[in-house]
Amino acid sequence: MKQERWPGLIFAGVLLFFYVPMVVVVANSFNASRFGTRWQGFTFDWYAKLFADRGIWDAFVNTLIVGGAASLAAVVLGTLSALCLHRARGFLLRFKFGLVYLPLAVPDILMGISLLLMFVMVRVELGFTTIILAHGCFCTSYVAMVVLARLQDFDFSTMEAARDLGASPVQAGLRVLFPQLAPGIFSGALLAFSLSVDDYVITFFVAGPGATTLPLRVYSMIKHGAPPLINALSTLILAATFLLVGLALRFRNKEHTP
Amino acid sequence: MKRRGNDVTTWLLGLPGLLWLLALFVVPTLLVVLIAFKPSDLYGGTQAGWTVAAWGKLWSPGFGRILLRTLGLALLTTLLCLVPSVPCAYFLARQPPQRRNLWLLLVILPFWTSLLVRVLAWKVLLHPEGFFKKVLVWLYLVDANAVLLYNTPTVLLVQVYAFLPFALLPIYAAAEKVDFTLMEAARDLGAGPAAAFFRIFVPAVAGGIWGAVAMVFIPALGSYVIPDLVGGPSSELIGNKIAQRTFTDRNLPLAAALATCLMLAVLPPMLLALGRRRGNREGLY
Amino acid sequence: MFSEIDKSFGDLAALTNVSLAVKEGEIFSLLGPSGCGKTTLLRLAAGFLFPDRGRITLGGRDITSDPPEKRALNTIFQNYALFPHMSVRQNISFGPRTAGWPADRIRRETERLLALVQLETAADKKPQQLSGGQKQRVALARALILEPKVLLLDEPFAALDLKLRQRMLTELERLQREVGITFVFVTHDQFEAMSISDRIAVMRGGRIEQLGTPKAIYETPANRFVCSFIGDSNLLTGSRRGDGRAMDVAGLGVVVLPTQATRDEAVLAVRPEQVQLSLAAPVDGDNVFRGCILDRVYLGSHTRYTVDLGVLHLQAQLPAGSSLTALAVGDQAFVHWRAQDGTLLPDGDGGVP
Repeated sequence: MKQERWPGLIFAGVLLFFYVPMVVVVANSFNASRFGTRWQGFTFDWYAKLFADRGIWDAFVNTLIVGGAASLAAVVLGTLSALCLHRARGFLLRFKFGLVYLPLAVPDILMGISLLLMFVMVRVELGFTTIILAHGCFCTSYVAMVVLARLQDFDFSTMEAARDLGASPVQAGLRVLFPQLAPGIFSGALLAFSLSVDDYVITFFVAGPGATTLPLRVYSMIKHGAPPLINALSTLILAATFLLVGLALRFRNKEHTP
Repeated sequence: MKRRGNDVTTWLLGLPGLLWLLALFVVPTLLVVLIAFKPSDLYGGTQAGWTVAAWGKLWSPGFGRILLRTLGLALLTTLLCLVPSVPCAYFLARQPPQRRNLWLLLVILPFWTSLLVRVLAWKVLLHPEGFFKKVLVWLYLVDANAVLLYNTPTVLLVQVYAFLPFALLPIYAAAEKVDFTLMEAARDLGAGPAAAFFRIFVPAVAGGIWGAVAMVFIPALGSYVIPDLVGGPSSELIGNKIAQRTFTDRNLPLAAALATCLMLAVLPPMLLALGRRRGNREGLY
Repeated sequence: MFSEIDKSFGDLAALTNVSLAVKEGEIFSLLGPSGCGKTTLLRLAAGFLFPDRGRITLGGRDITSDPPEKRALNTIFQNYALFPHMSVRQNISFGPRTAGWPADRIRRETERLLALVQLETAADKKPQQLSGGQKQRVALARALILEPKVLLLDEPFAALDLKLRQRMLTELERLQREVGITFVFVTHDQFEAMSISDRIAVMRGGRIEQLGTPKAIYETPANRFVCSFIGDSNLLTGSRRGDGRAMDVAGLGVVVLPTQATRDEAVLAVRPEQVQLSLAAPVDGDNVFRGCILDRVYLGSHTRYTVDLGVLHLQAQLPAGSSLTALAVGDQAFVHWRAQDGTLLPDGDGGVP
């Protein structure tokens, strides 16, 4: 019997829908034409201009610092909270949903405004610190979620086996639990990092003057126009995202297929 | 006795992370509701005492329109995301594993791609001098003077574009577990392909569809970037209003009241999603 | 080893006043249906649980409150619990590495154990690449390398298919003879327990129902539960008659007992293989009843008949090659057993240990 054709056609349509706009952006980033309406020859000019822009470099470095700090905090705090929440039952189960799943489900704008209000209330000066704190929050939830999922597949009898074979609880944790969770933690960290690096809305709310990240910069470029430059920057962001996600998925898959 | 000792250790280890999340998520969220009842001052802060002034300002036809538009647009976005997602999930689930992973990667990549970049892509496409516009004009589908940007249908289009992967992945996760011999059995019992699809496959992935509804509807309600970048004044949503009250007029209590409304709107689908399939989100990322 | 152990989980009493001593060098089985407390007992021994009351000793030393890593016994887990991120060799050398043995001793011992369980060729594979039987051998080697005084085995064959299970049983017995370690074995499979053990403790509801050699348990079950859990049995209930050497079974007649009944109600167990079938009435008279063949199941080495005696059904088992295998469903036949082949059960149901 012949397989139905419709689902395949719809899927092909969806892929086109996904990728045509991106391809146009990438193509335009090499287009000599200022408005990208017509192909006027291949050029690296926009990239050259982009790399010459000090403001963009600064924003880029800021983004890396924020992403790095937030995901580092997230790895430690998220992993430990996941270990603690894994066996949560009853009342504690609410913590698990309230603290881990909810922050990821809430619209960014709500998280942004609520953090802003809190920072204003406790009179913290908006800036780098507030951005890192905000990102650290959703990154922690994210890592905790990934680790919780890993723990669901984790065979706790291997911990007992380690104890049985003479390992202390700490040794068992370091030599049996941690190595098995590590790929999950690492892929969680990479993806948390990419969440942080991509975030615009929350950053927008809690950023103070002087603390500009790449998405903030990109946003104002989109809003106020600078098309060729932004095309080039977007192309680089796309490439970086694909690389990062590819890496994270490879790590996760490696764990599944020995 | 020994066991209890281990439990305490686990708690102590987890405590910093839990407090961290408590301080940065739960406390601020509750604070929003409180601040909505504070009087505002002229310098972008709040004064002592309590008032419902912010809520009074919300009670206007203009706000009603925005609320309805936000809800309507979120519903439409969800619907338009679901329609292609279900057959796509079906297609993916029936692919041989090797090819399936490649296709899946192609769906996951947009999921992780910067929202800004993806919105920009549509701005470029729909630009008055852009590629897409030219194709449409060439096909006599739109007038040469038509403006494709800065209106509500465009916001809808870009939202569907942005949230489609959010719908596809949970439905796929459910479709992957479907026992396809059931569909063969249905065909064997006389059902046509369409009947088998709608009466066997769709109910089988219902859990994934609910997950997808939550994954699209919730962020669509709080959408801010998309209407701000490709929408016009006639397509503003609650999200835009929150930002305006916060940054343009510095009226924090009013922003907080708006945020509280959004919270209330987001709450039912969220509880529904969390109640239905607890682990649903875990498989997504 | 165990004395007066109580353990409960919340309101649920998992073990009630259990005492038992395992002898050095024997294969000891804890046998019982799921939920009888046998695994709890094993986990108490290993140190994953701690008793509410009572003491656990090992070789005269009180280990009741020692953590698992301090106990000189090792466990084979039901799912083997091999470390998935380590190779076979690393799994086996985990214990010695943790204990900090010198490197050359670790290497030597690991190779010795690999040879003992015949896994030299698979030494660098990961557990996921092994078959069920190989995984079990890794688990064995990993546990044996520390030369424990006792090896605890938690349903070690549950995940294996029948053929492999029999082979591993034989292998396990060989290993036990070679290393001479005490094995404590948890199982719900009476065949496993019977074939491998020196002694068996039959458990139910957190208590030990009977403790003895396989032969003693099979031939002189302590009560109705043990009798029906170990092998198949025909149970006949009747009221004592006269001096207690016989009982009346309602609707059937007089049944002669092997020993003297001491209570008014007597329960007699007769194993199916001890029930004889014949077409003509046997000459000597005790325990002869006439019935009708109700069902016949051919099982290769023997054939199992169900005979309808009116008020009850009796199972009889004939070995292959018996002259009576031509008996068909619906035929009339006589059943008969010798009085001394039956077992008079001491009490109605069990309950009192």
